[in-house]
Amino acid sequence: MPQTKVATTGWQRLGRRILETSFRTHILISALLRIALICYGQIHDSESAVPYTDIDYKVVTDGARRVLDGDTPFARHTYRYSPIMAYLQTLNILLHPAWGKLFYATFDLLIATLIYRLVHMEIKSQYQKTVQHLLSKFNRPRESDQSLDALDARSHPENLARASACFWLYNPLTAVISTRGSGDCFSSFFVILTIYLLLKSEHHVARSHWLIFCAGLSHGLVIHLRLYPLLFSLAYYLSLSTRLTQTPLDFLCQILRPNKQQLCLVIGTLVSLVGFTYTFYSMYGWDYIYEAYLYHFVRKDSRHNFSLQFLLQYLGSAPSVAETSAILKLLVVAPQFLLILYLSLSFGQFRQTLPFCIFALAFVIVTYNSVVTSQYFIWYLAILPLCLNNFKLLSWRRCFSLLFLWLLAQALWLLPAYLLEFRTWNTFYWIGVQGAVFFAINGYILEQLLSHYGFTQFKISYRKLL
Amino acid sequence: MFSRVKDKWLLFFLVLALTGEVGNCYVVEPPIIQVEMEKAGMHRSLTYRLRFDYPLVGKGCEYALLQAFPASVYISTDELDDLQRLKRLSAVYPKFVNIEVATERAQPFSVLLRGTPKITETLALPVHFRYHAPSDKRSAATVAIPLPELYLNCPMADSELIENELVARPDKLYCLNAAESRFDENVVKDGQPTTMANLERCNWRRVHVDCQLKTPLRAEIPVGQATAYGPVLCATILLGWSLALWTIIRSMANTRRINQRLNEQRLLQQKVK
Repeated sequence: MPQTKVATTGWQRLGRRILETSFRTHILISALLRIALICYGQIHDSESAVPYTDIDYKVVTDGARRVLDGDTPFARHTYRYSPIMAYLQTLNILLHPAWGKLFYATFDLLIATLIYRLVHMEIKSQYQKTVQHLLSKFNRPRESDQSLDALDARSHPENLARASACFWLYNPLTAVISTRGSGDCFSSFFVILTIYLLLKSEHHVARSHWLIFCAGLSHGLVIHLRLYPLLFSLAYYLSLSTRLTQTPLDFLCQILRPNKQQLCLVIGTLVSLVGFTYTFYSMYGWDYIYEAYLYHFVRKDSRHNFSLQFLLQYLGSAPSVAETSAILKLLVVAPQFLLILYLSLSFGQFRQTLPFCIFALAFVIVTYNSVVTSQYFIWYLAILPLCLNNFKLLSWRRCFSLLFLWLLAQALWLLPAYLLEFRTWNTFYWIGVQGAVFFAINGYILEQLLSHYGFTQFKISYRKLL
Repeated sequence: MFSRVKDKWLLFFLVLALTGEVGNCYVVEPPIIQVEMEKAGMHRSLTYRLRFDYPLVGKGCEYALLQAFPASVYISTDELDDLQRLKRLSAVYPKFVNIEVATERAQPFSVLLRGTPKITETLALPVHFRYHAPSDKRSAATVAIPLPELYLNCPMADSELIENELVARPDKLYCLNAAESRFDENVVKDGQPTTMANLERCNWRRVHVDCQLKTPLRAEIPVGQATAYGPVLCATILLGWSLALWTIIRSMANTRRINQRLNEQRLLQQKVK
């Protein structure tokens, strides 16, 4: 028992020390860590037949080589990305093969910087609004108080922002993914930048339209890069509304009669998305439209994956199975769109809840997707640090239980997948069942996060305040 | 004394004559290939142990082991590129093999493993099996990998090294078609320029090999039951809808409360402004 106490104190001391270290130092340590991982990757790849480098990195580098040769990047088979990715990696050929990894790792650190600034801004703003709300109850409404004296150390924006950024910086999964050369961090950066600009526009009234327009540009770019952020659009749009949407008529009015800010967002998004798409279409023609956009809709990959729909897709590939009717197909995909609509309406109407809304949307998009692989988890893991402060209603024990459940579901899925892939056992149904278990656990986790979400979890000293 | 010396000389000449006779009668043994495949898994390695008879070794000849694969097998060209880069493999294979499609929509192809004859050599080729479309009748599909063929190409000056007994089709020469990773029969067309490069490319002979297998090159690939599609479709729809509706019902109260509080804050701010 005393040993456990000592260990706990040790962990607490370590935690405190981490939090006391400046953000710059954390960035520096993380940068060194990532450089070390990149160097390790280079050595590993020169020795081992199982490469550290992501296969997509090689595909994009080959695409970049084609670009330098004056050809189209789509001449490289399986190149299904925006040409921007190939342009960014041309320095892999001109400078050094690890250039792209360094570039993505830099974006990894930029994400942490954005998380830090966004959480700082968000907490401060929430605090000021809470104070205002509290004071109004004492009949003492006044302008927002800039002082943060009434906050305890644990709720201080600086500490919470640093903790959130560290959650990203020291997450081994994200560090490994970026240093393997995956471009997911690059697109995640623009998702967070969009949220950041939208939140910032609330505090800078004079520049708000420009900031929202820039958010639109960033949103358009990220749709061009990865498509899935298109489903965040409704939430972004609604977060700029000035009144609460409670009825379907309100909703219709919101859509049909946008305010100035909403117009800025729509115009920014269209300018960017249409601009990039048109430019690359004029350069590379139909190949670009098909490979970068349409292929993702027509792709049929029935190989094992985490998705609930894996077994359905695999069994549906039998020649004896008749083509599923449009109504049944709609019934399969409708729950995802229902949840997207529900979450956009319930958490997307205020900028305070927007980061959590985008996190929940990304979580739903991945969970209900027809193909789910580990790499997709980065879509919501990148946004999770923005909402850590909102889960204070969940105890540490509950948080760890949820994490444990999430990991357990993956481990349980891995067993039949291993038996199929490496022992050639007929475990299709077993994988299907484990996919359903993983799906149900993800649903439970989402429900827990939604039910325990809180946006004003501050310990405010009334004495200091009044 | 003289007689002893004479006997010794006689013995010496006899041995010399016998050795010479043996040299003239030496028949080059056909190369031996032991092929082995891992017993289980969708991702396996084909191991080839090649043994060449010594007259073929170190004479500037080149061999190519042609391994044909049925549609149910695929190779990862990126994986083979890596092995080539690490100098663990020298092979000719198609530029693109679609790794996503099922067997029924895939095409057969072949891989050429190249090298220079050595007394013994071991080559490993990683291969992967495709999923098969679900069926109503079977729960596994048997995939048989054919035996490899061996082709030899010796310099024009040393072409007598490949004796007729060794050659499978003495009347035929083959051209290496690297683009298709296969050999084409050499058909001399009128008007085709006879360059040295063309002659070298089309100087391949298919030779007899002694193929030794420890176990047959067969794999049992699991197949799902197509009849289960209906129940699985119902279960997927039911589970998807249940979870989505449950999530909405369980979280609605909290979201309503939050939106109400945020709306109060918004109204207050509008009042302050």
